This record gives sequence, C-alpha cells and structure tokens, in this order.
Amino acid sequence: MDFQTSANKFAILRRWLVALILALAVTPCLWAIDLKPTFRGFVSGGILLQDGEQGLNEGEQHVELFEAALNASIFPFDKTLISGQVFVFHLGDDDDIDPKLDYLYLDHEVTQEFGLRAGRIRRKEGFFLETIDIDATRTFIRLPAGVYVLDLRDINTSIDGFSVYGTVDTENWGSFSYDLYGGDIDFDDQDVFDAISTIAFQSFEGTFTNPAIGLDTIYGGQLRWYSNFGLTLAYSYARYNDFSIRGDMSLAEGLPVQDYYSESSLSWHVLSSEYVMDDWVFRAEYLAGRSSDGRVFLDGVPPNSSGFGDSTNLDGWYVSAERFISDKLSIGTYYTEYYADSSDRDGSELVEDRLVSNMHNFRNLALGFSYQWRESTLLKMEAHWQQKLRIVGDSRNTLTERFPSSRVYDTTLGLAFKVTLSF
Amino acid sequence: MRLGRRTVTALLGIVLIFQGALVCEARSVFVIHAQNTVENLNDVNLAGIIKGEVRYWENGDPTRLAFSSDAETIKCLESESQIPFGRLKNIWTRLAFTGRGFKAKRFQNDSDLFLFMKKNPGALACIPESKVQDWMTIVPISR
Repeated sequence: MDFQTSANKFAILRRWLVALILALAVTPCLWAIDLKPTFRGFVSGGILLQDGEQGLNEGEQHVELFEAALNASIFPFDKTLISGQVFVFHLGDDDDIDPKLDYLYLDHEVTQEFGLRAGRIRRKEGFFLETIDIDATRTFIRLPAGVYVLDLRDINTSIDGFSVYGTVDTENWGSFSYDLYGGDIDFDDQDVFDAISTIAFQSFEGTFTNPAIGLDTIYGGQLRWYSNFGLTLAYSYARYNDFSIRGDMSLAEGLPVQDYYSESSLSWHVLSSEYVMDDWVFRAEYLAGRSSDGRVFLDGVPPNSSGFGDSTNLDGWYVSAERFISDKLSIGTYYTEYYADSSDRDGSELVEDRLVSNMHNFRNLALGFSYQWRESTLLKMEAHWQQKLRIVGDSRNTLTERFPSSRVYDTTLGLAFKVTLSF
Repeated sequence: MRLGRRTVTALLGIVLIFQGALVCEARSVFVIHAQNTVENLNDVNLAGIIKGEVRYWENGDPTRLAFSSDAETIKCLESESQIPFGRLKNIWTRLAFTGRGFKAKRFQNDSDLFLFMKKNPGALACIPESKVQDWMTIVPISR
C-alpha cells in the first residue's frame, strides 16, 4: 500500500526545540511566583519476538518498542491543578517518532462530589484505556487486545473538550465515582489512517492517498462502584458521531484512482469488574462496539455495495489474574478473544461476503512477570500464544468484487521484554 | 513428653501476647504537620487518600502521601486501603502519568521524609509511632 508520508523530521525537531525553549523559559517564572511545578517522566524500551511469518508485523521476527513521556503539574489556586504530558511512541520500523501532546488541562475540584476539567484530557474507558501506553501501571506489557487495541491509541485516548467528575461516599455501600466527557479529537490524519488500515486490511493491493479523517463529536463517560469488600464494577460508554474517512483510492495496481468517502457513527460499551483478595487481583472486562448509519461512496460504485457500510457489532473480552508476590515482584496471566463481527464468530460469512479484517477474529493467552529492580527501574517479561483468523486463496479484497477464498487460523508464539526507567 | 491442653493454651496465649506487643511496638501511625488543621479522618477518607481518590484537604491543600520504607508501614498502608502494596504502586504510577494526582513518596531516610513534610503543608505521612516528632500531629482515624 502506498501512503503519502507526513513525517517531516525537521518540523519534528523544530517542535521539540520550541517546546524545550518554552519549558526552560517558563519553569523559572513559575518558581519565582511560588508555583513550583512537579515533573515526572519515564523512558521505556523493549522488544517483541515472534516465531512465525504471521503476527503483529507480518514477516518480522522481532519488533522494537520505545516509549517516553514527560509531564508537569502545578497548583495555581486552591483545589486547582494544571497538568500536561508529552508522549513519544515508536513501534517497529516506523521512523516517525513525532511527539504528541497527550494531555494539557485545567482541573478544578469544587467538592469531592463535583469537579471540572477542560482542555486536552484522557478518556476513562474500562480499567486501562487511560493508561494504555503506560505499562508501569500494571503487570502486563501488552494489554488484552480483545478490549484494548494499542493501534487505536492516537484515536481513542485523548479528546479536546471537557469532563465533569466526582466521587460519592456512602456509609454502607462503598463509594461511587463518575466521569462524563464531551469534545472532539485532534487527529493526525495519516497516523490515524495508518492505524485503521493496519487493523482493517489483512491484504490490500491497491493504494490509498491523501487520507482525511473527520469526527463530528465524541462523548461518553464512566460510572464505577467501589465496594467495601474488594469488588469494583464499572460501566463505560463512548459515542463517536459521524466518523469519516476521505481519500483517493485505487482498488488495485493499474486501476484508476477514485474518490473514496465513508462515514459511520460508533458506540462503545465496556463492562468491567475487579476483585482484590489478599495478594490476588482478578479482572474481567467485556467490550461491545456497534457501527451504525454507515455509508460508503466510491466513484461509479453504488453505495454500500460491498457491505462495508452496514451496521456491524464487534465484541471482545478477557479474564485475568495477577498475584503480587512481594512489593517488587508480580506475576499475571490473561486470556482474551476478539470478534470484529459478533454474528460471524467463525468467519464463515467473511470468506464470501466481507473485506478481510486483520483483527477479524483472534484469541490470545499471555503470561507476564514484572520485577521492580530498583525504585526507578522496572523489568518485564511476557509470553504470548495467539491464534488469528486469516483468509487464504485469492487475496484481492476489494470493495466491489468478491473472490473465492478459505479461512485458516495462524498460531503465533511470542516473547516480549521491556525495561522502564521512571523518575 | 506430652503437653496438657492447658499448657498448650497457655503457651499459645504467651505467643499471642508477645506477638501483640511486637505489633504495638512497631505500630505505624498517620501524621501531619502540626500547622495543618485536620482534626480527624475517617477510614473511608483515609483509604481514598492512599488510593489518590481524595486529592485535597478541606483548606484546598493537595493531599501528598509519604511513607517510610519499613515493613510495618507498608502493611499499614495495605490494611487501610485493602489493596496489596504492588497494586498500590501501580495505582500511584497511574495517578502520576494521567496528571490526576501525585505518586506517593517512599522514603528510606527519615530526615528526607521530615523535610518533605515541612515543604508540603498537605503532606500526610505514614511512619512508625516511635519516629513521631514534636512538630507533628498524629491523625486520629474514626471507624
């Protein structure tokens, strides 16, 4: 697939330098007016090893991983916080390490029961979306992909908007917390399109250039109940209104380039439960997603002729157990499954009727260890067994024509190692 | 030699009393700077502060949790929050990197912990009772 690259290393370098100069200029001023900022950060490096030709990146035996973040917080007034974080993420051979503003917001807590947050904020969804890229917050390196899709982090973690939140304590029933938000998302069109195409297409021999991603609004929230006996339950909801993709598409090499436009609204529901018993933490989460009001326009092709614009239901789930053996060592395991179309769990309809999704149907079993070597150094190791549906036969998957093919399950074994330094 | 039931009971009692005395001797308490005006905390609020859910005192100062590194203090934090210490560390890291609060500060050295408390008026420290200083107030926990 040919994509126009947006990576301009000089522009990236310039942005880093401007940010550094601003930080150097602003910090002494904050100290001078007694607004001492608190800085935190981490640098993390790792490697994912896989045994076969199929896997995270087809044909690769190993994938390198690098993450770094720097954040700062100040309290300018009573119960008021300003906090921001810059984040860099790099996976595989991609040379684009464009830093992203993860969040930058003003937070004022009126009472414990009611607070307001405005700016670029991170969404709460399930137990981990807020920290999907910060593995120091859990035993596992890779979260269960049936519920948390790392490729979507640029799309679904931060929004530009506002949120209201609070916690209500009860005498006998534990406490309830809520977090409601609304806004839109500042997309890097190319990054988002790359992520979507990684997930959406197992094989596509055409080209797609000049991608433009649009979103009308996003809103949602989370309600959590913390019991007095170690059980936590949560429900999260998110609605993406009029999510659209526009671009120039050629269905196969040599075919003419056509205007492409697709649009749909997406709803996500996540049910979460966690139970803490002594040194053990047990979790289960279930994701259900639905796309609706979908429309696809391609020059010369009747709308929705491929079935791509139809409403679809996806779902995924996992169960996990972690044991904190000591304050330094923890061990955990999870099993997860994901289905891009919950009405076609074995992929039989997909063979005849659908575009082949890279994540149509998979299952993953993981076993991970986390060891805190020193206060600032975290070492992790993780083993994975994964099965993923793949369509073989004629690999031309187009929006307009269907080709005979059949399905197989690829089994992949993987190992991941990671070191994180934080301060 | 066979021990009678009474002897075994008496021995067990002595062990329990001795163990209790050790626990009392090493008891950890929550303290604040005497200038902070917090009069008492209930156990729900205390658990909320440990988990980072209660972020401010009544006067608006941020609640900054600090603790000494001894085993009894760590047990005390686990017991008050009902969360294993390894998981608590994960929660504190999440607070730090989502900007929603502060990571609790762990101190190996008493003088560093005392300095932190003097610099941060909203600091709440969990330390062995034997280390409480004149300028600190032990916070009573109502249950």
